[in-house]
Amino acid sequence: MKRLLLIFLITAVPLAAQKVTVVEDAAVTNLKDGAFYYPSVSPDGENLLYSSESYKGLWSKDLSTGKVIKITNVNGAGYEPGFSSVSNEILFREDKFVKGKRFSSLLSYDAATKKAAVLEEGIRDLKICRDNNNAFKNYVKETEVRSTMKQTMLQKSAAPEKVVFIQDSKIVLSENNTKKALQPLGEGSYIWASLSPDKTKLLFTFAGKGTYVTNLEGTILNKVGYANYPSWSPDGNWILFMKDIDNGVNTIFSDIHIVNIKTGKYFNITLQRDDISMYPKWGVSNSEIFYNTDNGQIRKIKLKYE
Amino acid sequence: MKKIILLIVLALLSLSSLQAQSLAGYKICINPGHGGHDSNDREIPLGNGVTFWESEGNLSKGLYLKTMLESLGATVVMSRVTNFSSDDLPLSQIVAIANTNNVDYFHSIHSNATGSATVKANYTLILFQGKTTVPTYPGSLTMANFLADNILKTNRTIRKQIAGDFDFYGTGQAYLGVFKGLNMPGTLSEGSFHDYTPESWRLKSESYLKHEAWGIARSFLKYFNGGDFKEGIVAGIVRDMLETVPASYLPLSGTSDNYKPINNVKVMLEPGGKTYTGDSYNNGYYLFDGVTPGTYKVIVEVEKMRPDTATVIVKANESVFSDRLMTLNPILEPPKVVNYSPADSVNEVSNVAPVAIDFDIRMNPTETQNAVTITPAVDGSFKWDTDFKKLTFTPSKCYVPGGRYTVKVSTAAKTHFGFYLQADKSFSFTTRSKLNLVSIYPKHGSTDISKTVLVRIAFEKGINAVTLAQKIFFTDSLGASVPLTVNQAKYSQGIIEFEPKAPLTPNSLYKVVVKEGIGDVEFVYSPTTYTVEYRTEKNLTFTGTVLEGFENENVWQAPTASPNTKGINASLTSFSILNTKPRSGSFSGRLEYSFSGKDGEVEIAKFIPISLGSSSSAEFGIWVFGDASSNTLEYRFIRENSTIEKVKIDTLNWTGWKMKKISLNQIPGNGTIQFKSINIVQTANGNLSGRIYFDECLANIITDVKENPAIPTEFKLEQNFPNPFNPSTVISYQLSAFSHVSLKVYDILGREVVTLVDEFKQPGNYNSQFSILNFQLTSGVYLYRLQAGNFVQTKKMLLVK
Repeated sequence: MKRLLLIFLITAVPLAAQKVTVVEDAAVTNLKDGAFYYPSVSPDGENLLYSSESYKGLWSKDLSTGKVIKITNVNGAGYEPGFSSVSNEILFREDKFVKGKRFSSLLSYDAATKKAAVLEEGIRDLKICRDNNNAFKNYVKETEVRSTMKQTMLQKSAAPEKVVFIQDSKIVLSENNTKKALQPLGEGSYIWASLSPDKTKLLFTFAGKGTYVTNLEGTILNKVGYANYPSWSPDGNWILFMKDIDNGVNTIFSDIHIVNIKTGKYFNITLQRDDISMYPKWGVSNSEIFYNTDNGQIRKIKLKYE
Repeated sequence: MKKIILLIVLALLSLSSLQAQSLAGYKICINPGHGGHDSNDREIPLGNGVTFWESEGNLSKGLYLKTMLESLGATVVMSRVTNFSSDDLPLSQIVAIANTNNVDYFHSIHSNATGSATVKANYTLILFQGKTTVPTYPGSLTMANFLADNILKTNRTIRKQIAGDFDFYGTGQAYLGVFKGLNMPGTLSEGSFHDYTPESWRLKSESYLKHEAWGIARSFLKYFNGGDFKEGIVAGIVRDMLETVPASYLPLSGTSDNYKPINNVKVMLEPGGKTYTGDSYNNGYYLFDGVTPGTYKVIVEVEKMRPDTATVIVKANESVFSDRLMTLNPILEPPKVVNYSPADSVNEVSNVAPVAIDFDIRMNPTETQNAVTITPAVDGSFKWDTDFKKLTFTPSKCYVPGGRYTVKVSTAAKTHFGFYLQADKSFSFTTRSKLNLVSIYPKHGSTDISKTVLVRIAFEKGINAVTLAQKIFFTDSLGASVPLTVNQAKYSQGIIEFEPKAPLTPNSLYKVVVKEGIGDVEFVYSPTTYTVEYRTEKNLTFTGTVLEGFENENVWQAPTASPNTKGINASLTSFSILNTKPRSGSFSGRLEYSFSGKDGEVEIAKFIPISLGSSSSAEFGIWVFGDASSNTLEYRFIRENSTIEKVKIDTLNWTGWKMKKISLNQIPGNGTIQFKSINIVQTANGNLSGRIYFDECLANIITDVKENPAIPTEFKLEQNFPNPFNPSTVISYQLSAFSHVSLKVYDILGREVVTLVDEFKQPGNYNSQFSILNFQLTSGVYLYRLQAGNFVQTKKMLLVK
């Protein structure tokens, strides 16, 4: 009961919040240790994964002890890796280009044994499907959605959960491997699609036209606007995104924002920093956000909702 | 025997697989760089309204390439297929499109520029991420070499270069945003230089763009071991042997770009009966693609030129070129003068107008030039166009104002082929006699003029600054001169602009006198004295909640990036936060705009709209420094149901700062209100360009009216303005009684620098200007002290050098 009450308090406060304050914006990695990008936190909040700028290699940092483990140095490993529900297994990919053609392997890393194992090789169009909290349950192999429920064991049968991914630039919603292609705003390039935590809504960016929230039929519920790399807050009430501006050559400015999709209130949470702040991801609660700077420092923001 | 047959079959299969071209099963992302003619695009104006936009060239190449690759069986993911502003995707989105589609390769298509008006280059550059010898993905280097070879061959640039961005930009780390975060090999091709004028025109040729696409497609085939194209290409440039391009093209040595390309050429390829018709973009380019290997004849037909034929041998997967230099057919008839300017008997001709004579046949330049006379005689020089059909005389000094001149071309004028003009041709014109006024702002007798008014006097011609001395007077109601800041940059446009150094007294009369004798750049003079008297606005104060201070540019979307901006010249339209004209704080927003035709509109939108609450009598407003352009000022609001409400605030018929506000009740619609944008909407009689400043968005405005006391009720010394200052500042003070006034400036050690005032004065408001130009003063604090009767007050001011 206490846990339920706590959950209620965590979710209720941000929903009604009129003001969001950045309590802390602190470095998680040190630039002298290397340039790191694309942070994502484990479902239990204990570990943080990150990679290099080109997604080559994968590192895991224990957020309690500060200990860093280099899991792998392979190409593509940092692109959308996922955790098992108990955080002791990490699923990632390795991309090899054979005569120019990309072949991906699906690998599993066991934190206890510190060993990685290849689960499947030679996949031409691999997508690791993560939940909102970076937990993996499914992967997509050349349009077929498969389950990885049993850790390190691949289940060849159809995945029962709702899964969303991008195929041929369209949003594909899959349940029991029944797939539905959505183009809520017509022909174009859809990117950064994700399901809301309660799996009733979609969040995506339509390249050049902005970021939107729709129901599962593709009916637009909210236009978030110019909002890149968007993601749902753990309670599903807020959208986190970066507002990056470039000059056609490189990014010259970027801040991290959150917007409440019910009230429309926006907050720029890196306004006070001069860094180019990019690729944000929520922690395990609405009060934690991880992101990287353009020069490769991972940082963590603590928020207070009033 | 069976073994031999099997080997033969295997050999044949092997051979056929080597020759068959296929990219089946490969997935490629193509990014035609930039998009939408916005601030990230690159524009090369080529004259007569023709412009090359890099976004257009890149897109054409990309779309041709898409068709070629798809015909080979590849799956092609395009980052854009149209060219609107919304197609100028953020770099992060371009990368995400490639990543999310799991493509095998990413390629970004561009053209290059030196950015210099005098230094020209034209080479092929291929970039990728990493060091030049150690790319992030090895495949990028392999492909870069293929691209450099093939694009060099199709575009025939001077040379090729490949480089990793770590080295090319000298950063030692990732630089190009289009590669940052790519999880596959990628390259960026700068096929040629679009600011090298002969190349700019070639890039206007769809065939030239398509040819580069063929080069990229050949590279992909090689990269993926996809075989070779079975067909080849015949291409070339048709030029005029007798004509050269204008010197401004700066043709590169070692090329044939000095010869003038011929427009609308007709080229035939035999056998096969293929015909190509060239465009009118001064490139002379032709192309036949999909040509079966073999020997062919290229036959070129151009009106008035001798027919031309050449033999070419076409090879599979290669381009063969046949450039042609055409010569004129002899014209055995006398020439005619087909056009001339100024027109015959016309008056009010510019006093520096060139005289131009057009012939219908190429002329002998020396003899024809000697056959032209102008009476009365004028010093000047003759110049022929590159086709020797147009002769232009440019006077070296101005004609006499109001003078009548006669131009005569005698029968000694002779064609290139030796035929003479059959009869003399004469025409006359009369030059301008006086400089006319176009407009003055403020108008005579006007009221409610801003205290910070920008006075604008527009003449029909550029002003000769030397003639302005003692010609313009700006005085207050007591006849005292108002200290001014003059914008000399607009003299060349015939505009004299100035504004008071300190705000004028509210609700007071001022006078501007523009005396006769102001001269223009053609040494023509204004014969009239103009007097304008006007009254300043009442003493209004506006207080409220500041919602936006125009101190940070990043919260505003550039007008060229807004989807509602239309009908503009993008290179002349911008919004900046600057410290040149703050009304409060340190900065204000400056919008410069230029409409290209009719129905233009410029929008400056907040990235994050400002919440204003709901409908009420509360007021929302913005300080606007108008440009008297007669265009319309609109604010746009977002209602709760997301509808956009456009509200006309005023016609831009003022200069100087004015609070432009609206009651929230006047905004149509229901529910909550958010302020979204400021829009300048072009009107039928509005100026095509302008400059407007904005400062402070206020909500819950309280307006207070204070009447000017006719006579000050107290002695007072004001803070100088501007402060800090360099080189001059204005010190204002008021006197409540007739007094002897002493106003002096001292340095921080108390040493007197200058006495600004030392005389008796009537009660009233006064301004005194202090300039350091006649002193050798260092930066620092200075004091100024006013003594008027028994009243004494001292204040500090700061000189910053």
